[in-house]
Amino acid sequence: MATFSSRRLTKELVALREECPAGITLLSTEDLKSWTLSLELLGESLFKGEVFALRFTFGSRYPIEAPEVVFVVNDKYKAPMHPHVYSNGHICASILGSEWSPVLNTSTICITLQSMLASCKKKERPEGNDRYVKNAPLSPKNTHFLYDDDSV
Amino acid sequence: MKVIVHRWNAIAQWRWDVGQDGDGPDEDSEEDLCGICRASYEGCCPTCKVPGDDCPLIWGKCSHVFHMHCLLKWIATPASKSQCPMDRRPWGTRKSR
Amino acid sequence: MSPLLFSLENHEGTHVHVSHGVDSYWPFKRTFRTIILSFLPPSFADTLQAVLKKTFSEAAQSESRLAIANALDQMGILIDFKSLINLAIDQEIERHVMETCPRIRDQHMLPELRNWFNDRVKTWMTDIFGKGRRSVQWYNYLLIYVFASLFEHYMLKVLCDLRISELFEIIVDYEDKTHPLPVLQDLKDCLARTGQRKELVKGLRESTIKRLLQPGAATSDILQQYVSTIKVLRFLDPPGVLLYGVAEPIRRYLRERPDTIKIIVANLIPRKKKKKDKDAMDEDDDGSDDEDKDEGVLLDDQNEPAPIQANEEIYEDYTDPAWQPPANDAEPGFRAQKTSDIISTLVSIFGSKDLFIKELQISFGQRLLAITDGNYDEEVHNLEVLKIRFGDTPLQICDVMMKDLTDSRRTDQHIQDRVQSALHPTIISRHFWPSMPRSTLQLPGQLRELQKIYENEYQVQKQDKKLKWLPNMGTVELTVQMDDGRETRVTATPLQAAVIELFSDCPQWHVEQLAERLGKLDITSVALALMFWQSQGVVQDLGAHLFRLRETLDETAQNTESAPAATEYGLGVAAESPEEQGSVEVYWSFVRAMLTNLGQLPTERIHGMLRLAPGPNPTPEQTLHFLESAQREGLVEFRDHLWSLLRR
Repeated sequence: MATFSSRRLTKELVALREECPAGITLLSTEDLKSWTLSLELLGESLFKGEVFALRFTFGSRYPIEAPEVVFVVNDKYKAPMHPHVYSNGHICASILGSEWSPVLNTSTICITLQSMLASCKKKERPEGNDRYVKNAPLSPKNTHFLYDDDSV
Repeated sequence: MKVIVHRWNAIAQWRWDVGQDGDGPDEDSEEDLCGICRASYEGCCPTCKVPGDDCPLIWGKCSHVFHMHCLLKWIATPASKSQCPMDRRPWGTRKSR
Repeated sequence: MSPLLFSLENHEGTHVHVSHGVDSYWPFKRTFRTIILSFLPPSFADTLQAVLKKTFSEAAQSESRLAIANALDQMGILIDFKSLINLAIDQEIERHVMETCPRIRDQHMLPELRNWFNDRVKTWMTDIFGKGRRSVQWYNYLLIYVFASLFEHYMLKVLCDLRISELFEIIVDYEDKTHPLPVLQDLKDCLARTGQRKELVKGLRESTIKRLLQPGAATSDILQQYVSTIKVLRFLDPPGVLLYGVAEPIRRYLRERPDTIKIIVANLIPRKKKKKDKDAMDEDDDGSDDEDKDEGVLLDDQNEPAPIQANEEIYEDYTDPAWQPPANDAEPGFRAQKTSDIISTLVSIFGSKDLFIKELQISFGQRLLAITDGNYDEEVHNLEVLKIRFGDTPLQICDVMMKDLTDSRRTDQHIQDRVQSALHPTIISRHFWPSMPRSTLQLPGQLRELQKIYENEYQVQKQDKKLKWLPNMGTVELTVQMDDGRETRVTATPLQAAVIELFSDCPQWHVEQLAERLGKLDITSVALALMFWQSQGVVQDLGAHLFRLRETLDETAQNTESAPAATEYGLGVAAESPEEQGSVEVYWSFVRAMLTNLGQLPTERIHGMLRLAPGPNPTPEQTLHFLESAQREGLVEFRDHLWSLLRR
């Protein structure tokens, strides 16, 4: 199974190094398991001018299983103020959970998250953010999100 | 004048018949790739070493095509809900083209 | 001998008298010595040196040596000429080594030199400094021994210098039948004593750069010398410190040569060994000593194929009891080489195996496609050898190639059972074979029919698959049957076959028409195909890009005049045999057609195209020679590096 994910990731990496979608930049790829990409919105939106970083962690069963994707929260980066993004960087998006499909990939996930941010009408944290952040598991993959918005 | 051909050693490539006709592009276009492993149909899935009959394709009723091994891996996970990865419709295998 | 010495010799008596009182003797002697030295003419040193030199070369001359030494001693001035004496010994050693050792390869010189040294030099020293010399009492036997060992050391150094200066040639000769190991054993022994490792690296490095790493040297020769250098230096210095210093410029140079990989790869795959197989049946591998190496294979067959170690994988195994720290003259980049496998070293020139594997795959694919008789056994064996070296995984692609071939044969048998066809395609898996030239060639007439029938039958056999032809690849064996009964049987390229197939429809074609009809091909390749048929006497050039079938022999006879043959222009002079004569004619018809169609061409281009002509491939020199003779005949002219046709 390991070769399965690494072959697919090698192909993705080659493609990303050649060309990233607009607003997406490959920041670091120490190995084939964990990549960091920066993400910004180029058009008009509430997040114009802000730059975020996404950390992808791929398991050995990728792409049959979804990768873990979080916004990086550290000295340099903050999680976007968005009703589906917790302040610890965890994202509540169906494509990363129950709506995952193996034909999705790093690029398409980034583009989906871009459009999720772009369609945001009010900058706010999800309901119960503080409680979630306090009790959240290390990986959002261990959280059972209830997707109340099918569009993401 | 007459030309008599005795023996012709030719070279051809085999292709999966995925419904595209004529001289498709020789390079991998998006349509020639298995959406799951992103390898060419005429290549093999990441767990195989030999392409072709040993690593066949599977045709869905929805017209989507994958390496059979890739699709079966996906369908075997509960998360797939037995849906086609492309259109999320219930997967049905087409018996013959 | 100078009269002065003789006269002094006779004064021994006086000497004895004076030695009565110890008090008076030393001041006397000192004064005496000073006076003697001040009397000696300036030429004395030179003369003495010449005399000493003579005492080496003459036969039995122990007496004369003793005489000189006694005289000098009694005058108390022996000690003053010590350095002169030392110099004489040095010079004698140099003379002897340079007289006996240069260019010796297959003989241990060291034992002989040592004998000579003990025999001559030590005796000489004993005569001069030895027994009972009053003024040199401290030269007892022990000291002579110590002294002698210093001179022996010098002798080793002289030999070592000589061998270092010859090392490049020694390495060149290394691959010869005579095993030059004795000379290397000498050098190794000398090095152990004299430690001239730096000098060796510097000297060999310089001569290698100067004599080998030149644009004129063929890559295969450089590789050969590199391999020999590796073998020789590994012998001299198993840890490889010396090699590292010498190899570095060679490796750098080879890295920049575009054909290096290709040549190494070509050598990795064993060549056809027709005779060897038979021999192997009779006796075991041991008999390979005097095996002819005419193929120029770089690699020693004695070495069992071992897994390749790429550069980055080299590590030091400190748990290995044989581990040793690198010698203290190791350069910073030096890493001990675990394997002594030459191929690993060659592969590591490029840092990684990947480039190599790629070239290997390409070369393997090309060889497989070149097989038409269906006998793949040898390649199967080669693949196994390569797998031992490179591991299974990188060569899986080659496995797929092999499988494609066997599958193709099986499929073909099934299809032939149903529809007998002259067409026997090799059906390959794209992505797994070296990329093949793309062509828009569309085959006409019966050729296309053959393809169609086969395609359909293939789809019956393999329901989900279809065929995509590589129309310009492969070969067609065919016979052209003329209306007058003449038959021409040839093996043609698909394009050539396609061209003649069109002529069976219509006896006359324009080059442009043909090119259009065959799938918008370029004119040149069609013209070359026409040349082929022209050289077979099947079509004729009517001029103005118009070609016509030669339907009868009569016509052929007439048309030889209208299309002048090479011989008529005197080009045949260049040929030495009837065979060559034939190719000269073909060349000329090629060149004429090329220049007619394309105007002006540089030599390289013409050479490239001549290689497409039937018959033996000319070398670049032959091409140039050919063009020059055509120029002398006034057929072509050469201007601004371009050849063009001179019309009559």
